[in-house]
Amino acid sequence: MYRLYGARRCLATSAESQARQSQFNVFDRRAKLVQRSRIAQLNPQLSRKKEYLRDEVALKTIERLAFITRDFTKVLDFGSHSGNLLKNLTIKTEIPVGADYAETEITKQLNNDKLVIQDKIKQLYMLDSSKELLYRDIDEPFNKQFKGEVIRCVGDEESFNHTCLEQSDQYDAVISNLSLHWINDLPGTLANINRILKPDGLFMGTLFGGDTLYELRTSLQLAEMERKGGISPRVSPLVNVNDIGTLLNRAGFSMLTIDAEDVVVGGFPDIVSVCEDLQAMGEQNAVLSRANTLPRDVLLAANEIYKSLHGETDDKGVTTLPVTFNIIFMIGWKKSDSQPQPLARGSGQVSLKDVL
Amino acid sequence: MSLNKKIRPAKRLVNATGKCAVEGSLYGQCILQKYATIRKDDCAKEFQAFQQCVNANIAK
Repeated sequence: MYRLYGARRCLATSAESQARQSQFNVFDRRAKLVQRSRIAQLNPQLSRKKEYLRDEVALKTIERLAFITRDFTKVLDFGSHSGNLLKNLTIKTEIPVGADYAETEITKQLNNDKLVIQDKIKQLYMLDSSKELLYRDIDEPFNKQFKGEVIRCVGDEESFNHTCLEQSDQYDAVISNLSLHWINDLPGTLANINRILKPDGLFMGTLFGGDTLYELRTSLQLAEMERKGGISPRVSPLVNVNDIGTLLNRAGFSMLTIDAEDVVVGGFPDIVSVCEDLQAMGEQNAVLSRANTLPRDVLLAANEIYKSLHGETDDKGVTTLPVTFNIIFMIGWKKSDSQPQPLARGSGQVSLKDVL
Repeated sequence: MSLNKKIRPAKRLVNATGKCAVEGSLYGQCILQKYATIRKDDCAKEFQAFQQCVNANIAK
């Protein structure tokens, strides 16, 4: 058993010494790249199967894009993963079996939205740091269904030095789904996204918010506290929804729309299945100061605490574990003179007192 | 080498807790009562009983 354990450990990414990293760095981007690429390379089927969250968010993005009556001639999918946006744009959503009138209409509307947006996009640039992920689905039929041109760019999302990202004021819209949460310098990256947008261009992004995986986070913290007497970072620090406005403003976006939604995935039998799913998504721990192992007793304790604190028991007495993903949706526009501006202070002609 | 073909050690460990649900939930309940002021070994007694049960099951 221990030999097998040793073989498994060679698949783990070890934490780097902190001294070589900048003091502002929280995430180990090199390890993250290895983690995300590995699953796409070793087991593409599993990698596809565990993308339910990305597909769901891609559909929600399509719904939101449909509300914007604009031309999206040149679009960048920043941190595109395997191209979930492209996939969901081109593949028709099936009407679920036994759907009622409302559901049927919503699905029809969604499929209609897909066609409208597809027609608008003439060039879709997809940028991701992992070559394995970006090219994983290149032979899938949905690539050919897309009428516009697809350009894949392998480049680091944080260093922003790819030729696709060089020229300023070039994209009509930048979309980024569930990728920005591994960026160390979020203000800098958002400012760079702002730079490459045309004036009055659209940025639409999603990001994991602070309550994501709170069940896993609290169970591991309690278990480690009770067993070892201290805690180590097992779950990433995440952005709070209240800070997004400031971040986007600082990056130069105006007319912001921010909202958050909890997606709860239920039915996990134990904590190891939760971690296996996260690993298959390429979302395992990549905090620089992470511990390299999870001791057996902490794992056992965390599993029981997860069950007791957050478990859901059905009528048959079977306890399953829910996992919460807190997804923040943000929309911002690059500043432009053509946008409606507030009038100067004191220039009002009508007294509110007379109206009310 | 591909992922998820063999049972991982962590999975085998957690699978062994299936027969120790009573001991496990006792430990969970103990944490639930004390979580606001948790300290090291607050539920050591419950955990010992639970771990003994798991070890007995994993050896089989």
